[in-house]
Amino acid sequence: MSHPLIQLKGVSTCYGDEFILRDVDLDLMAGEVAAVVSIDTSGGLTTLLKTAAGLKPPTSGQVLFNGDDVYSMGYGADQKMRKRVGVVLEGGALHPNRSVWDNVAFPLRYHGERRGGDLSKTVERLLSDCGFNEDPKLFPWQISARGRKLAGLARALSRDPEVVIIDRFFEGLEMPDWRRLFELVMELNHHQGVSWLLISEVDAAIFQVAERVGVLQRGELIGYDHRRRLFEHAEIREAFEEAEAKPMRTRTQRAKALNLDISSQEVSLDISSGPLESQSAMEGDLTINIDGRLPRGNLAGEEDSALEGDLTIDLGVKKPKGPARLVRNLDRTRTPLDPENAKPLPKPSSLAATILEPPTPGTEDARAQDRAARERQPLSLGETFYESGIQSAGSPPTPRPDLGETFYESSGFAPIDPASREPATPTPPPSLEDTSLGGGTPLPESTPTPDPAAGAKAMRKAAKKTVQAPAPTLSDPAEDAKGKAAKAKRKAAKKTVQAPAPTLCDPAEDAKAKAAKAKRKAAKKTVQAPAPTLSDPAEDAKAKAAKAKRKAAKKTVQAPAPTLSDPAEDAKAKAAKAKRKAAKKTAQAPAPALSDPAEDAKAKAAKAKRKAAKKTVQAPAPALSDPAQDAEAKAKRKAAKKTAQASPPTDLHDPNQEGA
Amino acid sequence: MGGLFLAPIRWLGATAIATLRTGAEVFSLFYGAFAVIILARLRGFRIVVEVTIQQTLFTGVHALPLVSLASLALGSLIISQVQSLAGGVINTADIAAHVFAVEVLPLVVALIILGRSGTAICVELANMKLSGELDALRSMGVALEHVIVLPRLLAGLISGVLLTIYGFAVGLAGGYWLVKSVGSLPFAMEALLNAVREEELIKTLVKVCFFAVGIVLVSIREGYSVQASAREVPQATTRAVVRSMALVFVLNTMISVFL
Repeated sequence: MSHPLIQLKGVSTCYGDEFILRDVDLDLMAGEVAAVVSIDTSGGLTTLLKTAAGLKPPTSGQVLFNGDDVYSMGYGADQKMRKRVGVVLEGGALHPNRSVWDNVAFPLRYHGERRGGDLSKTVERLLSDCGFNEDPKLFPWQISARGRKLAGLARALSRDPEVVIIDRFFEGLEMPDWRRLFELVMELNHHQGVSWLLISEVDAAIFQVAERVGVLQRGELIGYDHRRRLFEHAEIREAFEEAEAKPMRTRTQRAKALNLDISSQEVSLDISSGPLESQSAMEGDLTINIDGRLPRGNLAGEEDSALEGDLTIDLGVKKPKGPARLVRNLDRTRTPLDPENAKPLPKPSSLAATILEPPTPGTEDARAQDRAARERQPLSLGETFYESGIQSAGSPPTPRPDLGETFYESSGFAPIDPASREPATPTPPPSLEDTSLGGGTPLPESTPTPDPAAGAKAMRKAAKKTVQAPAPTLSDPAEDAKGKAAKAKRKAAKKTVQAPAPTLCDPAEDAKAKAAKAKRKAAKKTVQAPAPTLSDPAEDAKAKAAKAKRKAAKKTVQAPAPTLSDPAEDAKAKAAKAKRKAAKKTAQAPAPALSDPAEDAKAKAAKAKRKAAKKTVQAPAPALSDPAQDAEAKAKRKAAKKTAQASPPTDLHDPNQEGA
Repeated sequence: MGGLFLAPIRWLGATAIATLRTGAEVFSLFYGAFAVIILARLRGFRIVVEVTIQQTLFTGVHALPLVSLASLALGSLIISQVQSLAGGVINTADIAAHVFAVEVLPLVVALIILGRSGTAICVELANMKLSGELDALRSMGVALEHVIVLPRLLAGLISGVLLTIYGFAVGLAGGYWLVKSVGSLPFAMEALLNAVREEELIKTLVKVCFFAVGIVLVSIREGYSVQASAREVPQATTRAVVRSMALVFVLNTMISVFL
């Protein structure tokens, strides 16, 4: 008959006015593995651990160890209790100025329980048992956080305790460490009767270890029961479902994503029938293209109809080509199927994938059979708390929509409608013609578009997309041929795109420009080529003649080098230049000096007219005129002035008055 | 009006209560450190010795250069000043030796221990508490008074006494040599050294022992007072320095008056 080792009776702890723990009743039986998890962020877990471990006296309540109050023990009783209780605080809590070895050996040395070689062997064994594989001579700040945790556990186990209390120990551990510690917990529990009290945040993995689980919410223990009965509380079940809906934090939780059920394609894939073998097994994406064709190299069947017959899947294929990629480095165990029973053969502890025979509509589907088969098996790391907690307790099986939906979302397939067994929103399977699958987008037709620039832009975009799309890698000859053609097209398009805007030019002009460019190049080469010094005399003569010609042309035209080559063009250029010069002179000349006499006469007359008009306008009054007229004009001007001062300013510019 | 009148009294009362509480905690640390020797007997003896040696090296040996400099400077200053102020009137050797050895040197040693080791102890323990090391030690059945308080207390005592004797020699002899090399002194070095009587030397050592114990205990207590945040560490260190200095001055006055 087991007896309670640790008992918390009405324990309350508060900092100031705030309660961290409120009226907590908890007991840990001898040989039991129990856990306390917190389903909110209000904390209290570490305080609970310290209170239970006799490190922090509660504000009220009692903590009993074997019936004795922990906080009223004398020195001797306290020492005995400490020997029987091992505590692993968060992060290991190693002394930074001592090496890992010294830290683990510290309790043994202090209490004088091991000495000399025995001490060394014990420390090495403890570190090895806990999976510590770093240099124990290093200081805690020189090793990884994982190493510190493991060393802390080794130190807590050094005095062979009866109870081990662990604070958030499994959080953040990699899968191999998790599995090793899981086995260590179980081994110490089964063989040495060590009781464990695990303190953790919400983690489904806790349910695989602990027999009883306490749930802490806002400092109150709202449930402390066997894991199968705990989920009868709606509040707790909802809290855990919420926690499960959060992004997966640990590799154990991530493993649940491998519980695939691709029933919409009449293929059931189960990768959760055993503990995971390695850390890398949890990495990578599982993407299976199920559109009626099996990815080559991954799903090795005799033919496509192998979905209905014997089929073996090897998930150990390294990075298969094509769109179908499976998890790398998984267990290479091949799982043959029993075609008659449509049920996977017993496979105890391996991570493998199995494609089942499609379930018959209207009958109990293979999914339910598979679940029932798994429930008969012992718990495994890959199983979720749904399977271990709720469904095994006899409650109606809870569907697992989210696990499959993740796959569907990522693969483009629709989830299944449980009633009709049909995809809710049927999505056409991705075709190999799609760019995403590397089939290649057909190049746009080269028909002229209304806007040549826009057309060229669109063409470049399309060609770019096509070039960036992954090349088709499937081995179908027809598809390969298509792919090659598409590749050739893409290359051509790429070359076209990379050319400097050829689509904006007239083809005839382009041809002319090319010819001219070639000519210029040739001329340039001819000009830049050094004169042959020891060559044929005839060539020398030719070269001299060419040189003389070039000189003459240079003097005459002073045009750049390319124009020296073609005489016709030179002549044209000369004429054009002369015209431009003449036009420039004509435009800039103040008067045509050597132009047409008639025009000159006209210009002179016009100039005289302008001068006369200017003088007439600028003249104030005729100096030697008639006095009577002068007087009249004066009177008129005065009158006009007066009128102008009274009238708007526009009257001042009356041409009549000005003329007067 | 009444509130304003009563406020200083309230403050005085609260301060007195806090001081008494601190004193009680410091005394309980002191008591626990020596009680655990009896309770633990030889358990963890080697570890206690190891920690004591390490702490003595830090508090005592590593402080020798600073104590040398301070003693030399203060010794020469006191000798030269007393000689210049009262030279020819009284026996300046007696006065200089008494002032330096009994009044100045213990304070200098105490301040050096406080500045170097008191702060270090406080910070170390505060960080140990924050990282859970103290809880881990307790969970292993290791009494903190045994491996934390006792070694530091012993190291403080040993270092304080040794530093005082060293400072006495360096301050008087070195100061005499320094002043003599610059000017002239009407007395010999032997007169200076012989001027310090035996009871004065004991008084000096008693002072230093009280100072060292007070500094170490106050620093440990303040290091323990950290609760949850790293921000509390410098605050606790400041409190340790201030309270230790206050304790040293009070103890200096009391010992000087009553002994």
